[in-house]
Amino acid sequence: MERTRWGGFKGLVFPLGLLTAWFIFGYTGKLNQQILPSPGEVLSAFRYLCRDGLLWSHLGSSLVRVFGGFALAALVGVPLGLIMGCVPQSQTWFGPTLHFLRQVPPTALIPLFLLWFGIGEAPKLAVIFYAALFPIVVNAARGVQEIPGMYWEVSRALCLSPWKTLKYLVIPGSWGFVFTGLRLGMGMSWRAIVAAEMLASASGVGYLVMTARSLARVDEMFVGILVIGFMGILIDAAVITIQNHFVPSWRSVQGTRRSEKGGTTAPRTAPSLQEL
Amino acid sequence: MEQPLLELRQVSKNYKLEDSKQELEVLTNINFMVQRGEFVSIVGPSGCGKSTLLSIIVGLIAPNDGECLYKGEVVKKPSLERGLVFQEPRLLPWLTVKDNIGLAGEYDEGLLKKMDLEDFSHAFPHELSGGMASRVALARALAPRPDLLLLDEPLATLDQNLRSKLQGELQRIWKDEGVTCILVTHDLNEALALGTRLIVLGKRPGTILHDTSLQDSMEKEAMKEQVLTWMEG
Repeated sequence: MERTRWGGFKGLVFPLGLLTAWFIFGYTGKLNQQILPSPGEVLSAFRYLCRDGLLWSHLGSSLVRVFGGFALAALVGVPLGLIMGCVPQSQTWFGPTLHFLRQVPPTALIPLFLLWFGIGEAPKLAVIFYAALFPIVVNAARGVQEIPGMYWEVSRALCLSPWKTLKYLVIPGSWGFVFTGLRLGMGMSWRAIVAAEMLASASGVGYLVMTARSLARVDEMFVGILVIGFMGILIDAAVITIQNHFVPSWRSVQGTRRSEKGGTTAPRTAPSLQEL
Repeated sequence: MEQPLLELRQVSKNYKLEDSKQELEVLTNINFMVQRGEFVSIVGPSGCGKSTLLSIIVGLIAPNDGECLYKGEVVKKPSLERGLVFQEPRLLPWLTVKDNIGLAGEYDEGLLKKMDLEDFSHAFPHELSGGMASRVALARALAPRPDLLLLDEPLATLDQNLRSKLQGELQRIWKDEGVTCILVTHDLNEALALGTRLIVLGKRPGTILHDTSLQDSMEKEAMKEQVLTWMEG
């Protein structure tokens, strides 16, 4: 128990050490303020941006875009992935195209989206949609493929209708993978929007960082960067919380079974991020 | 003569091996009929095609040669009239006992009671013991009220005590529900204890070595040695 508790703090040692060093160098005045402002200055800039409402307004713009584009990607990506998982031939037909598109980073498409959709919200939503779509589709498809064959045989032997197969087998059976895809998609969305706002936007956290750069306000750039990082962590934590809340039965099948033989076989769990 | 419930005519089944172009002959020239109300036990050594035979009867796979007739019609796909209990319970882990049983048929409280599962209707499969999981699998196959119940070594993974108990339950279900049963097993004692008829399959490719009705326990006991010799031969 002690080891576990200590384990949770281990990850904080490095950032706290870095912060301490930053404080010490900032306090002694050995930092070049044009390159690296002191923590105090960054905090002042943070307070100013908060009081002024600028930070909240930029953050709000980014979040609205992210959730809008992500919701679209989820609405399209989950059903598409489930269909692809259910139809084995789809991998043969669409696999190479998907693989190609996955190699093209969303930022590379920003100029094209600007050309197609003009300036405004549409190209940003398109970037987020593109960034989130592939992890969602790929994981949903894999989730279906990972449903053990014996359960498909059960559904056939019980003559389940396509609707019942979807409701009782495909959706719950792939749920863990679908959520992993949504989580990855959300992370990709956040990263993509910041990049998009840096290149083509008049609001958002990415825009805040770029404006600070053009005004040589390194302290505000730091505020923006730190906010991007912390928001990413918060969004990821929120998705994990939702996942843990909505996938209880998936998690519970991994629990220990009674000692007698012949219980049910637990299916594979969703992959870790490293695995993907 | 009354139309048999099930009839297999010269059924053969081959599987293509994935790595080569060779074919593996699993069943060859299987012929038998099953009348309503029978409890047919099919025994044979491991790998002789017993489970394949059940899959053909259910309609999960098609034979390469011959035909399988159910109520005079060729079996082309699974039907709720033929219930299958797999070797492992294969309960969907994300559904409760109640939902697993109600997957194909009407959820029946009485069935749950008969199977002694009424206290576990909201339990998930991982919360069940092996015996309970087997009973739920049996209840799931019985829920659509099939005329023919196919049992693919459903007790093979259980320990001896639990096995004897569930054998008793199987016999009770066969008598009470009036369902025709085909049990596939490699356990001769189980086959003799439950069946009213015994079909012995030989080593792969499975062919019928012997098909006999079983009358009383004396006769069953006397057959044991003979059947073992057939199976080993």
